[in-house]
Order: sequence, then C-alpha cells, then structure tokens
Amino acid sequence: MNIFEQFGFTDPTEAIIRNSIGEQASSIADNVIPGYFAGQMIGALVWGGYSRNSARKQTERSIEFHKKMMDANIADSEERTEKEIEFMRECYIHGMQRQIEYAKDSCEHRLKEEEFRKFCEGTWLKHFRPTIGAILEEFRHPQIDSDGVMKMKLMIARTKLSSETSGLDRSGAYYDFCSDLKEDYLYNLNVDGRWLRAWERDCISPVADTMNLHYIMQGMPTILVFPMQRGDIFSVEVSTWTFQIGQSNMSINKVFQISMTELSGHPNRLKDAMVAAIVFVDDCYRLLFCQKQPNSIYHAEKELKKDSMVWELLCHKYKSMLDSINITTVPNFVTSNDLKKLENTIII
Amino acid sequence: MIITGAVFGSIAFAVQGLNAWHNKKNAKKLQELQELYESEVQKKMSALAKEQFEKLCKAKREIAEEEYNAQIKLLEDLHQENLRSIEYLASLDKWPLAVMPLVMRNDSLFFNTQAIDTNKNRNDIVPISIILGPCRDKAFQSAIWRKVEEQLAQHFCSYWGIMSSHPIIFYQDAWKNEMDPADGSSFADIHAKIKNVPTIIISPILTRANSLQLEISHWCIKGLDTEESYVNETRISLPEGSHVYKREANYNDEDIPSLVNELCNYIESLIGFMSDQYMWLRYHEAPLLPTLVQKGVIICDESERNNLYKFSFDMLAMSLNTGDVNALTEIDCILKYCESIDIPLKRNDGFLSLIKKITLSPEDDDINHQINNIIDFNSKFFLSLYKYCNAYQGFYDIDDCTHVYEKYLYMLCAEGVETWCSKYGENHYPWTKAGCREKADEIALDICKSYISRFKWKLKSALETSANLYGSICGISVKFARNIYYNDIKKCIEEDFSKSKIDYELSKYQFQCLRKAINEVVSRLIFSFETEDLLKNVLECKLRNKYVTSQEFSSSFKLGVSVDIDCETLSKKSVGYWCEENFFSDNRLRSSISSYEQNDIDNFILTTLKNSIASYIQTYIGYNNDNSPIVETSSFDEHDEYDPIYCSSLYSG
Repeated sequence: MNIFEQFGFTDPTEAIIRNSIGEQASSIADNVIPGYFAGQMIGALVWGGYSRNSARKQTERSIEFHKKMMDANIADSEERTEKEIEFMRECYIHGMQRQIEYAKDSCEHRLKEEEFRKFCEGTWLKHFRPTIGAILEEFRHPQIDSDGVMKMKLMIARTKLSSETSGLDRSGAYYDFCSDLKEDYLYNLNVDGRWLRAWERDCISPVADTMNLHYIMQGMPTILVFPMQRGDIFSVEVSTWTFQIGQSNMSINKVFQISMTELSGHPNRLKDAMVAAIVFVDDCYRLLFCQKQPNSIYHAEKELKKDSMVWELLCHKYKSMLDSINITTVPNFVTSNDLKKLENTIII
Repeated sequence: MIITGAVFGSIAFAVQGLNAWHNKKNAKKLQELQELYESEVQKKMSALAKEQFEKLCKAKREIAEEEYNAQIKLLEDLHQENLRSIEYLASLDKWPLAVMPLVMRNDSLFFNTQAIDTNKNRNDIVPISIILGPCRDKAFQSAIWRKVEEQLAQHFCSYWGIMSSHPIIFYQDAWKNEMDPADGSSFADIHAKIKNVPTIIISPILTRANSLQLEISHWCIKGLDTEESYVNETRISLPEGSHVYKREANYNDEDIPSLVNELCNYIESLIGFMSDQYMWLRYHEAPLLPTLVQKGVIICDESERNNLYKFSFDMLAMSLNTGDVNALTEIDCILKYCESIDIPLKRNDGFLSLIKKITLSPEDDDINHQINNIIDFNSKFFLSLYKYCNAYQGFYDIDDCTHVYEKYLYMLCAEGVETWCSKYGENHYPWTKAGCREKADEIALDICKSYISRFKWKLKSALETSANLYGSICGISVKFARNIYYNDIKKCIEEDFSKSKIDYELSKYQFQCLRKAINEVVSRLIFSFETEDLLKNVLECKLRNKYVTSQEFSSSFKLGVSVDIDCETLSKKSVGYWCEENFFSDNRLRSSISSYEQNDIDNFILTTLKNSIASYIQTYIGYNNDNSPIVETSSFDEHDEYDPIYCSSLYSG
C-alpha cells in the first residue's frame, strides 16, 4: 500500500495514466519500461568498456609522454655532464696557461733583474757617481726655472782633457775642473749642475757612456759634454735628450772640432768651447722643445765673447739653427722680436 | 510485469557487477603498467647517474694526469730557462762591448718603452746599431782603422744622425778590448743577445794573401725575422783599383788621409745602402744615399752610380712585387722614392716604369675601398707627375709620362676592376659572371666620374699657380674619360648581342642596340663635368666670335627669351664633335650602319643633347635682367683642341 492508498486515494500515476490513456496505454507502458532498462544495461556495458579502453589509452599515452620527458631529461643530464667536464678542462687549461705564463714572466723578470744587477754593479757604479735611486727620485721632483722650464741636467765627462794633471790625482783634477767650470760659468746659466761631476773613471767611448746614462735617465732633459782629444783634434762631443723616451729621441753630436794647436796657449778655450756647446744645446732645448725664449746665450755672452774663435763658431751654430727654423712654425710664445734680438746678438 | 522488472533488475545488477569486475581488472592492469614503468625509470636513472659519475671521475683523473705532466714539463722548461739564464748572465762577463745588451735593446725596467714604441710616431723608428770591430794588425789598427772610425763617426753624426730620417747609432770606440778579436764567435754572441736590434758589425781582416777584407754580419736589416734576416760572416774585398794593404806595413803620414777617405767612402756607401734598404722595407722612407752621392759627400764613379741606381730601382720593384709596399695606399712614399733616386742619379726609368707595376690588390675584397684608393692614387699621381715634370725638366718628359699614364691608368681602372669582379663578384655580391664585365665597366666609369669631380677643386687650385698645368691636366682627364665612354658603349652593344636571341634583321638590331646604348650613355654622362666643360668652352668660343643669334636660339629652344647664342649650330657642332670623338672613332662601328641610320643616330643624339644644352645654358651661363647674356671673361685659348672650325668640319649634317 503506497502512501496514496493509506490515505484512501488511488495511486495518482496509475490513476492518471489509466484515466488519461486507458488500457491500451497501459500495455505500452509495460513494454517501454523494460526497454528502457535494457537500453540502460547495454549502455552500461558499452560505455563501461569504452571508458576502460580510454583509461588504458590515457595511461599508455601518459607513460609514453613521461618516457619522452625522461629521455629528454637524460639527454639534458648527459649534456650537462659533458659541459661540466668541458668546463673542468677549460678551467684546467686556463689555469695551466696562466701558471706557465706566470712562471715564464717570473723567469724573464728574474733574468732582467739579474742583468740589471750586473749593469748596476759592472757598469753604472764603476763608471758613474749619481745613484740610480737618486735619479729616479729626481723624476718626481724636477728642478724648474723661473720661466717654468725643467732645467737640463748637465754632466761633464771625465776625459784626459778634463782631468789633466801633472800628478797622479786625476780624480782630484777632474773635481777641480768641474768646480771651476761651475764657478766661472754655470751659476748664470739655467742648467742643473748637481751631477756635473758624474764620472768615476775616464770615459773611453762617449757613445757607450751616453747609451748607459740614457738608459736610466731617458725622459729627463740632460746634456752630456765630452771634451775629447782625437789625434790632434779637440772635439766637444755633446749628447742630449729631452722628455721623450726611446733611443730615436736622443742626439749625439760633435758640436765643435778644433785643432789641438789652437788649444795650446789659450788656457780658457777648452772651457769656453764646452760652455758654448752647453749654451747652444740649452737654447735649442728652450726654443724648440719648451717653446720659450732662448736666453742662455745672453747669460754667457760676455764671457764667451772674450774668445773670438769660440764666439765665431757659436754664432755659426746659432745661424744655422735659425736658418732651419721656419718662422711660421715657431711657437707662439716666441715673438719675432725675440728672434730678432737673438739674430742681433750673434753678430760676429 | 513484476517478473519482467525483476528479471531486468537482475540483469542490470549483473551488468553492473560485470562492469565493476572489468573496471577492477583494468585498474589492476594499469597499476601494474605504471609500476613497471616507474621501476624502469628508477633503474634507468640510477644507471645514468652511475655512468655520469664515472665519466666525471674519469675526466678528473685525466685532468689530474695532464696537470701532472704539464707541471713536470713546466718544471723542465723552467729548469732549461734557468740554465740559459745562468749561461746568459755568465757570458755577460765576456761581452765585448762597453754597452750592455739591455741598454742596446733599451729594455728598461723603469719605462714602458715597448708601449711607447707601438705609437705611430718617431719612437716607432728603431735606429740601426753600427759596430766596428778592431783589426789584429796593430799598424793598420792604429794608423788607419781608428781614423776611419773617427771620420765615419763624423759623417754619421752629420748625415745619418739619430734624429735624421735614416737614424744610425754608431758605437764609436765601444769595443772594450782591442786585443779581443772581432770574429764570428763575437758576432754570434752579440747576435744572440740583441737579435731584435737591427745591427751591422764590420771587422777588418788583413789576409795572408795581402788583401784587406771586411767581415760583415748583420741582422734585421732585410726583414723583421731575426733568423731569416741574419747574414753571418760575409767577407767582402775592396773594389778593384783600391789600395793593396799588407800585413804590418808602415804607413806614410801623407798617404794616410787618402787611404782613410777611400775606406770611409766605401764603408759609408755600404752602410748607407743597407740603411736605405732597412728604412724603406720597414718604414717606407725614401733612400738617402743617392742624395749624398749627388752632394758629393760620397764619391762614386759613373759605373758605381749606375749600379746604385739599378740596386735602388730593383729594391723598389721587389717591394712592390712582394706586396711589402702597397702601391695604391702608399703612392706618396713611392713617388718620394722615385724622386730620391731619379733626380740625384739623373735617370728617369724608375718613375716611368713605376706605373706598370701597379695593380689592384686581389686580396682586398672591399670594392669601395679599392675605388677610393684608385681615385686617391690618380689625384696624387697627377699632381706629382706635373710637379715633377715642371720642377725637374730634363728628367721627366711630360709626353712620355702622359702616354704611360693614360695607358696604364685605364688598364688599372677597367681591367683591374674587371679582374677583381670576376674573382670576388660571385662570392661577395649578387653578380653573375656575365654581369661582372658590365659591373666592371660601371665601376670604371664611376671611378672616372668620381675622379673628375674630386679633381675639380685641385684643378682650381692648380689653375691659380699654373695655367699651363690646368690645360694639360684637363686635356688628360678628358682623354681618359673618353676612352672609358667609348669602351662602355662597345661593351653595352656586345652585352645586348650576347644576351638576346637574334629575332630581327642583324643591321636593324644593331642599329637599335646602338640607339639604346647611346641613349643610356648620353643620359648617364650628359651632366658630367667633362660635358659641361666641353660645352662651356664651345659656348664661350661662340660668344667671343659672335657667331650666335638670339632669334635662332629662341626659336630652337622656345625659351621665350632673347639671347645672342646660336644654339642650333652650336648643338650640331658639339654633337658632331661628340659623335666623332666618342662613338665613331672606330671605323668598324661606323661602316656597319647605313648612312640613313647614321643620320638618325645623329638626330637622336642631337635631340638628347639639345635639352641638356638648354638647361646647361640656363644654369651655368645665366641671363641678365635685360635678357642679354652674361659674357664671362674667358681664358679660353683660340688654339685649343675644341676649335669650332674643326668641329664644323667633322659634322656636315
């Protein structure tokens, strides 16, 4: 008894159906309902099979995908390992190269240092008085004159002529020669004479001593004066360099060459010729390198004019220097009046 | 009905059950599959990790092994190096010179001279070191050799100083001990220690056969390679006719100066030639020795001068052939070289032969760069040519130079570029082989045009200094340009023939091609400098001779202005000139077309030129407000090659 019947009613569904469609309809409902259930069952079978099949395929596909991913990971991993090994090798090669370079550089430096030690002991200290340390210190604190020009370092070589003595004390004679030269001439000039007496022993080869001094002093304006006797010729040989570094920026010249017979009987001619050479080189330096007015000649003019022969030689040098200067390329600091003044001074 | 429902319900239950059973079975199978896969993955990953670890271990082991071997080798090398250092330092005690090797090398520890030397300035020049060794013969050493050394020192200071163009450091008196012989062993020692410093060592030897020989070693003179350029212990005798030296001879004071002079002259010329060679090959500096010969500083007889010229010229030719010197980029240096050997030695072969040796560099694959080089070369060469011809009359004949120049300049531009195109065209540019020829012509033409336009301002400045120079240069440029145009036309025609199938009657096709080519070339060149110049000259001439009438000009060009210029006649004459000069100077071309076609072509050119002339007149001649022409004062020469009478005789139509 359903709930409708409990309350004294008939089953509405059945009643409705019976009432609405009658008996004929009732037989149709009897057929439809089993059909419906049959369809459900077949559907459950078919779709159940289909879903199982799909799940299988899905799983296989998933496995396949993961396999591919794994393969890719493996390939990546192998590549990473290869790279790691490569990097290790690279590190090793670079490290080794640096080590070799360092070792070779170190070896080379040691050789240079040893060679330099030999140079210091065997050449420099035996031949020259200024120490290399003092020269290097001088690079930091150069001497500047009132025109703002870095003073040239002047060095007089010890030769037979500059250390001539009747006795044995050639060193003393050289000292006296340099002192006299400084006292008589150099106080008026704008050159730095602190290393005037720079030689420890006689100079044999001016070129060799020039090269040795230039090696350390390159970049510091310097004049080296070598009073040399070559046969019966007295030759004032001058080596000079300025701020530039390198062998191609130095100059070695035989500025004056006078017969030895011309020297005898003129006690001051040797010094006059040397001072004339210094004056000429210093003025060239001031005019051509420092772009300043040449003034050394005016300071030494009075003394040098006493020796007409030296003065004449000096004037020729100045004239040829002025001839070689193109007036348009002369620096702005030097006016044509300055050059005129110089031209008027060097009249013989 | 209930039974039916129960049956269906049972079946449904069974079906559900069956489904559930299948599901369970399927899930189990999938789980197994999944587990199998997972376990396989695990196994594979473990194997991989193991393998990779082994690989890393192996690599580390290998590296460690290699490192060990390298360390051992380095130790051995350092040991060798140390041994060499010890030997080097010990051998310094026997160093024969008063200057230590580190000073000669300028190997300063305090100054970075290497860094400075890389700058392109004077610091870049490394001077040649000259060392004279002593002679074993005491008499010769004291009487002759020391004086030779002194005289050489004076000469080197004066002419070959360190600050000169050919710097030499002459180590006078630098041989420490005269008793220490200067032989092959000393030379080898010096070479080993200063192998990068260009050095010449000369040592005199008096042989048992009573002759003086000079033993020479030198390196870094003929090239930068220290080993290849090393020439060791070469002995040379004095030239024939020189003094015959004997061992332990007594020398008269009177003879000594002449003997010293003779030796000095010989040694200085020897060193001078080597210095010239060094400076040329390394720094492209022109030789100095011929100038010193000319000044009489070094005395040479005629045959020696000829030899010097030959050697100097061969050196230039060799450096051009080997490519040490690039003719196009370093033409200034080459011209200076020619000047420095031709003028002092009174010859001119070098200058004339020079151009024949100039070719485009096949190694340079930048065509624009090549073109610029050629143009620069042309400009410089032109001015230098005339400068030299004017300055050194007698040495350079202007006609000879012009002839050689025209011939080789065209070859240089057209053929050189064509060769270049065929080599590089396909690789670097989308040009076919057939197109390369055409491209070569185009480039040659461009070169010509750029050259003329670039040269304009130079002509202007040249005009201020020399009217004659202007005329000559202008004449050459016009001639040169015409050669190019003529070849251009011919090649255009050939191209058209080769490209097309002949569907037309040959003469008709040729005629059409010719028209096309002319149209192309005329339209391309009509506004070039040369055309303007030509027309301007003719116009000025016309104006001066009052041949022109304003009416004719006005009616011809319908400009609506009244000017005093006979442009119709002018155009015809100009065209006649152009036709004759540019298109029909080769008779083959003229004879291949009929007279009717000739006239047609002439008219065609006339029409093309008419418009150009009209616009030219408007642009360049100008008009006053009253519509009368501005007649410029002209420097046109009545006897110039553009004589209107000559023009009219050329063109009869």
